[in-house]
Amino acid sequence: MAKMKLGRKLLEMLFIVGLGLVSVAMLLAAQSYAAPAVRRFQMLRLRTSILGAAGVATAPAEVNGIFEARVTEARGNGATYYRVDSLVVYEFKGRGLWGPVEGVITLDSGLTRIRSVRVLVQEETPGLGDRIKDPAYLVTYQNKTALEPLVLAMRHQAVEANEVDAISGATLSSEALLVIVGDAVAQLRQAMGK
Amino acid sequence: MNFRKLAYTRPWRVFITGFFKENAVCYQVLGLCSTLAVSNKMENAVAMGASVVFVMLVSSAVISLLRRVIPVQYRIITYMIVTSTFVIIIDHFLKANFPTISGQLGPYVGLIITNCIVMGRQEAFAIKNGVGLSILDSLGAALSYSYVLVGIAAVREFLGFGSLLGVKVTPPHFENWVVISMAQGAWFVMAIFVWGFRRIAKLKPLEQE
Repeated sequence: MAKMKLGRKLLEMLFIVGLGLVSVAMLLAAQSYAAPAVRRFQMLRLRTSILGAAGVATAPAEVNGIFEARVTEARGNGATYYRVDSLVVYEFKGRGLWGPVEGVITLDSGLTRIRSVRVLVQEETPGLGDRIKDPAYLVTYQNKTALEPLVLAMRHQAVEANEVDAISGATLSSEALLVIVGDAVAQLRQAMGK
Repeated sequence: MNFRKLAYTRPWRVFITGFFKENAVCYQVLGLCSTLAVSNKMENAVAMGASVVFVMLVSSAVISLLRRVIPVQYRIITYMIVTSTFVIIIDHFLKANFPTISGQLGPYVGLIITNCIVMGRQEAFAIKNGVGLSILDSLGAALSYSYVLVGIAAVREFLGFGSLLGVKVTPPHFENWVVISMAQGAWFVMAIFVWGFRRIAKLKPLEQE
């Protein structure tokens, strides 16, 4: 009697383990099917955004060719940055309110002014914090100073060179992006030895 | 084929009960978290609805197929394993084939794992019934969730963003009603929607003990 119960328990556990193994196998298959396409897309997206951030307009089919012709990759202090004409483009990663935030920032070659900020990956609150990815919001970073720390303009529109707008209803996400951008500028400064 | 007779068959009744009378959101009051979170724009609602339909159809079919071998004590974890497997697979599929759509959906696809309608229909129906009926049942439930989601999203996107499916439809001086696009606004719109639906479907309030 006790033996039967034990056998039954074992079978049940085997069922769960088997189900888990089938699931893992299916997930591995799905991932290996998706991985090359995802990598290709990420690379293309990074290159497109580096060119776009430097103001070079491209058709999707020409991105790789133009990138290889016009962009030089440089490394310093463990970080990679890209030179396009007289601009410096840097890929940044940081922590948002809910998840990772990734994007690219463009500065002039003297690292005095931010030319543009683009957010490519974010997991902020849909409809609120996710506006940190909207170009209409990111315009607020254009031509802001890279020489002193930026601050959020909380109760008014940003006017000064060191002020950026906050998103109403998503102050924490706006703040997170501000910190990420500040860190990116500092990292880039170290990488370029300035 | 006699269509009037169709209305009295079991498969049709299984489907239409979940689709209308026992609406997942308004009657069973399931899946509220995602109904509140994803109903801010129609585009998100449509994509979420479609993904839920797929995941529910496949996972209910699998649960129903395995229903004689799933140990009683382990059935919940079985639902979780099966559901999350298919959710992650559809996530990978979208990432590989529709990177732009996948980027817009972001975390929503993964959230289907926590959608209680999926597990609710598996526990209430698929574990006891055949594959065909289970598919019809989950189709009805998933579609009922989807149209509520899209309905609420239409109201919220119109009032909160002044657009429908991303197309601006309001006059230029229309002041966007921002609170409606936030989670708090979702409660108001959902409550009114549920009230209206229960009126139309003639659902009675639950008896108080």
